[in-house]
Amino acid sequence: MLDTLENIETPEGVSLSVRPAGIYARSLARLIDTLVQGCVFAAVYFLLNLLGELFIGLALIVLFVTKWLYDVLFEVLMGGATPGKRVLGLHVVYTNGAPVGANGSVVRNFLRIVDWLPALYVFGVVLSLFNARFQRLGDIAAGTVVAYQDDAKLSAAGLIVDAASPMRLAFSRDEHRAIANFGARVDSLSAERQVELAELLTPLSALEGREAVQALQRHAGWLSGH
Amino acid sequence: MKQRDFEKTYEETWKQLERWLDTPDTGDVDPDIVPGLYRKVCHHLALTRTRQYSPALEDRLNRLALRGHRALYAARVSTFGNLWRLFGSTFPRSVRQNAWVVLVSAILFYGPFAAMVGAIAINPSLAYSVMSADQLDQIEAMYSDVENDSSRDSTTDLMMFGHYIYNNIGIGFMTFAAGVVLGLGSVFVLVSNGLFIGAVFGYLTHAGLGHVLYPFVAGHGAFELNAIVLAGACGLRLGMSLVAPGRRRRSDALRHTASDTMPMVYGFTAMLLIAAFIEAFWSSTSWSPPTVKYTVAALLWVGVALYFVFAGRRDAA
Repeated sequence: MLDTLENIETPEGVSLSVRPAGIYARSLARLIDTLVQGCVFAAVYFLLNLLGELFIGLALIVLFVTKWLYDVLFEVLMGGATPGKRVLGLHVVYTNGAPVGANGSVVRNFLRIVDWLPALYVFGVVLSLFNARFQRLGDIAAGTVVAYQDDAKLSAAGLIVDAASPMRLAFSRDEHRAIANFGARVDSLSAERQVELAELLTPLSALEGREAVQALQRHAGWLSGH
Repeated sequence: MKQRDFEKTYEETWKQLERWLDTPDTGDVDPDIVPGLYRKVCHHLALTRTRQYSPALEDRLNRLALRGHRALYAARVSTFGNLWRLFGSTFPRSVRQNAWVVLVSAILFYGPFAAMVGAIAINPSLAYSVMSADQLDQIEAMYSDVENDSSRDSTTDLMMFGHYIYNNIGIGFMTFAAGVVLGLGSVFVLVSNGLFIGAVFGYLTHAGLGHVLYPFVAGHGAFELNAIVLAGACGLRLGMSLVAPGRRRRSDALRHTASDTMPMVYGFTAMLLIAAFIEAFWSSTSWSPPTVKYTVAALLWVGVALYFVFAGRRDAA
């Protein structure tokens, strides 16, 4: 299936899946963090005008911490998430699923300046497009992944549960999952797209149009345990 | 077992683990049973998959097991014990381990520095090759001001402390990170800083201000200059891991090297902090005569050298 799940092997012999965050979510998170940093800079500048020279030394230290240690401090002390990542529901973990520590965070954030080159993270973005876990250079060096904190929950919105019933067809586990995901996401698709997707099954089910969509929704409802 | 019965049988187990993960400190769930609960959930997840229970249940158990995994396998560190170990042995040992890289980095930094000082002694106009006339005038004015009126108050000290932290530690981090560009970034920062500082030294000596400059820089130089050398060494190692990864894939080599250099990164950061402190609150003082400054400086250089040669030897495995 076309999906971006990453599997983590655990000592308990079961593999857990995490969903690495794509470029869009990470860019938004970065944008928010940059705005927060910008606000700190602005606040320092404002206080500097107010308090004058006495404050310059302290101001420079605050600027240093904001510029170099902002990400590290938040990632290490606040469960792997800077404010921007928190808003987007992301966090940084090691590739084995463990929470990121000081070493990993320092490496990935110091190498940020190389990922930024030549401008606006072009290098980092290009590199992460060639990587199954969307890792930029800093992530590769640190062995970290930016992942969703909670894997997207399957919503019950698109399931037809009062008349839940399975189609009499032999589906594999992946196919079951695809149908469940269809049920969870059907509301976010246009009517035409719903029909188009559902009619992929027409050769087997002989159902067409809305009927095919509803059959899938009933099947998804049945899958969800109702 | 039907899914509904499965859920009914084990719901309480899952709820217990969930409760502990949500509020670990209330004592509501005995911490001793948590690892057992977590292993059960892993087992249930595997069962859910082989028995093809609903994806919703699989997702729920996957989420729960993942949270348990994070909680149980998180690295627990006691910061102060670690700091003691880091500066007592790990850092100096790591410097000795990387003696060759440190030596190369030192040559790349002190070499251009010495060359520039020597070149300017022979032909003073060479100072203009790395700096503009305005910059040189400014630097000269700064130091001759110090000579004439050396009353710097404590506000200025604090200001300079902030300035040194912002500037110097920033340069240190940059020297390290830029090394990942096949080592070239670190080479560039080391050589250009060596040339620049050499030009300042050579020019001020030529201008007859050496007696102001030397006592000022001698003390904190022991920490500041050598910290930049160590930052360069870390950067060179990052670059080398990509150029010559050995038997590893380049990405793996980079990852191993990066975590390997961390003691040195923390170490040079601490050295730059100490340097900023000395530079702001001791080097600038005017009440101590140059002889005292030189004595303290000599002690600092010897101290740094002894530290790197001898510290942490006893812990050697």
